[in-house]
Amino acid sequence: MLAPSSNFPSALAQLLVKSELRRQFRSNPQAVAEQLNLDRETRAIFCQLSADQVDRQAHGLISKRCYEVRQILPQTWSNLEPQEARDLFFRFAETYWPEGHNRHRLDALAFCEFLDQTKTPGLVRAEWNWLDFCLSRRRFRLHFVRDLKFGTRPHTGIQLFYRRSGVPRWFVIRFPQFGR
Amino acid sequence: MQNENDGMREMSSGQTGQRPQVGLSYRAALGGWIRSQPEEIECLEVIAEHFFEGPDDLLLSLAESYPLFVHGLGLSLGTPGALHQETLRHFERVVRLADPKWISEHVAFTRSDEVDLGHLNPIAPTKTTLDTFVEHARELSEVCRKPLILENITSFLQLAGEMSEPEFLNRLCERANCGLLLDVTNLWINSRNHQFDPLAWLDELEQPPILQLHVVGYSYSRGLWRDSHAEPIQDELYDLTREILNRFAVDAMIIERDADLPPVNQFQAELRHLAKLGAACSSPAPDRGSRKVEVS
Repeated sequence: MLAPSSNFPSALAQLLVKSELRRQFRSNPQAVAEQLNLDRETRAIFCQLSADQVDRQAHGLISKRCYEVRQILPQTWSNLEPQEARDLFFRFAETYWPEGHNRHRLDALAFCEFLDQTKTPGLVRAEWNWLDFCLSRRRFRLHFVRDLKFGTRPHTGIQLFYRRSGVPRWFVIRFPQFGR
Repeated sequence: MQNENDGMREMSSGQTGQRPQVGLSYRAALGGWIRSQPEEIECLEVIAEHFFEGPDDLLLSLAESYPLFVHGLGLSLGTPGALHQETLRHFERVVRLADPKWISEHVAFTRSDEVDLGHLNPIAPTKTTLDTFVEHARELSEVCRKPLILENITSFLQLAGEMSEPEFLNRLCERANCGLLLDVTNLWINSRNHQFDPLAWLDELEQPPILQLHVVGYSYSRGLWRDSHAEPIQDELYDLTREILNRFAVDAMIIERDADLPPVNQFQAELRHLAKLGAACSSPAPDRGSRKVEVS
């Protein structure tokens, strides 16, 4: 259901976040303007938007989100094929828009949850745990993990997270590896 | 009435014919070099949102070492209605700690009532939008008790309206009593993607009371120019910067590199290049009715 938009930024924002609305806009901008209940001045500007340019702007917004999340989850990202990672993120990004000045980390956290729910191989739980702790208000947390990254191979170990003067810090105990 | 901003003319080095100061936008990865106070860095811009949750001691230390400018990303001055109060409160706190020469935001919107888009989007250059911007710009400047400058953005969208972008900026600076943060790269990118002459765009612009520049290399992929903030400054951007310096009195130039940070010596070379350009073009622009920015 579309929220009625009384102003242009609101109408444009809805267009930018909803791919289905952009498809409708491409074939009939007047009908979308009608659905959004735009006033006359706003409708005139809205209907003159280029559908191609709107698609590019929308794609650009998600690309920027994708770039930020990649910086926050480098290990998980490197486990996925580059195009696969982008495709997954674009699929995820349609369903969730983070808010506030922590938006990039919230975006990364929600993407981890998406990968977990879709059982996508490659999610590094050690990375997810740390991000979750940083965004929480918890003072202490312990995790047993099998994907601590040291060198090129994952290791089993314990992550210990704590806060000192409010700043999150971490400590890991890596278990020795036997065999190969 | 005497207030802390009565020294605007002295602060505005461009107006007195001095070379514009050159500097960088602070990035944590460059922190060690920046804190060593190299001679090439004369001023520093900090992103307000990066300091919303501290570290305060770093911000205070930077403020002691450099003339600072505080640059906002998420106040969304183009959204009708009240400014987002939590963001405004965080922003004001950073400004209070940093005590910058001026503060800046964008001629854009990032959020609506329904969604936070998180990045900058264009506004329609209409009288209604201008009224919204004037109201928000005045409020922001008054809350922070600092002069405000506003930045042009890049956008794949070109919006119809009642006036051109330069005309909108002229009226905004005049009515809101604010300055301009002219992003050279954004202007260049928009001119390529939307096929207009950036010099004709500059010809429409009036001298604002404060003029800061942003510059960083553009990227090009899949037939479009993009603001990746990840490339060294290309020659055509230095050329456009020279055109701006020849037309307007500029107060400061900031390199706004975000990604793929190069070795320090590349930054040093870029800073020196901009300083040299500034020195070569440092005569003040003809008086076109320049206004003193005051904060009540």
